[in-house]
Amino acid sequence: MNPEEAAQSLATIRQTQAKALRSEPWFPHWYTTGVGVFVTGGQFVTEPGTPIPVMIGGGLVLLAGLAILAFLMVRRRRMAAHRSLMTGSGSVAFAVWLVGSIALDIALTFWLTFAEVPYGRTYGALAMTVFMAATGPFVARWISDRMARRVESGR
Amino acid sequence: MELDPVIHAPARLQIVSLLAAAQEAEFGFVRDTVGVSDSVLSKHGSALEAAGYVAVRKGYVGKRPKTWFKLTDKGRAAFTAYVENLQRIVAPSGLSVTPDKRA
Repeated sequence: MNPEEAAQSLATIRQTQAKALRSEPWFPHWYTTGVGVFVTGGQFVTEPGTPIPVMIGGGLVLLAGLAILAFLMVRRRRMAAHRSLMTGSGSVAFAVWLVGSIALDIALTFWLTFAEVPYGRTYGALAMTVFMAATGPFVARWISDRMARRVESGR
Repeated sequence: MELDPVIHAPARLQIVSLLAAAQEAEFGFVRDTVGVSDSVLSKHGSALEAAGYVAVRKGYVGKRPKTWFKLTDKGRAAFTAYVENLQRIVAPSGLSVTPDKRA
């Protein structure tokens, strides 16, 4: 193989990998939204005054939902990017997004609780879930794009 | 410099490249991304599995049968060595390996 053919092969490798990485978001946003729904449901069924049967029944339904979510995550995903391709900026972006989502939940929960609004914890978690559902796809795509750019640059 | 003949075929190189970027990839995803037919992917998948480079997992999503490919440690090592050999060939020439954006 001559240098021109070898360079073309390397370019093809990078192109194939970048195309694959850009085809799928780094994480499926329905999964993180589903986890948010689980947290919201968990807050709702544990609010003070909730009857014990509702607490137990709701808790079981939520756990079943989480198990189904995890099952779908494993079975439905077309491709999961290899961990070695994760970039530093991608890790930071994901951490900031996740911590920001949780911080929004906590801040709203405290604010509503001090304002003596019923179901404050539930509303806080609901806001977190809506935030995750609205912004998750962009974060996941951005991380995938960073990984693809890293592959293209050969770093 | 001898390049690994198991990986060397163009379609197979693309398949292995894709799998090197993935923890695991579903058959249809590999087929669509690489742009080969079902039969071609099956043939190359079997050859890579026989060489110990790829692990094949079969299962169902609902009632539909699905197949997932994963590069084994042996396959990942072979791919890394293949890329290093390509780089050794290219390095003295100073050629660029930036992918063609038009494709």
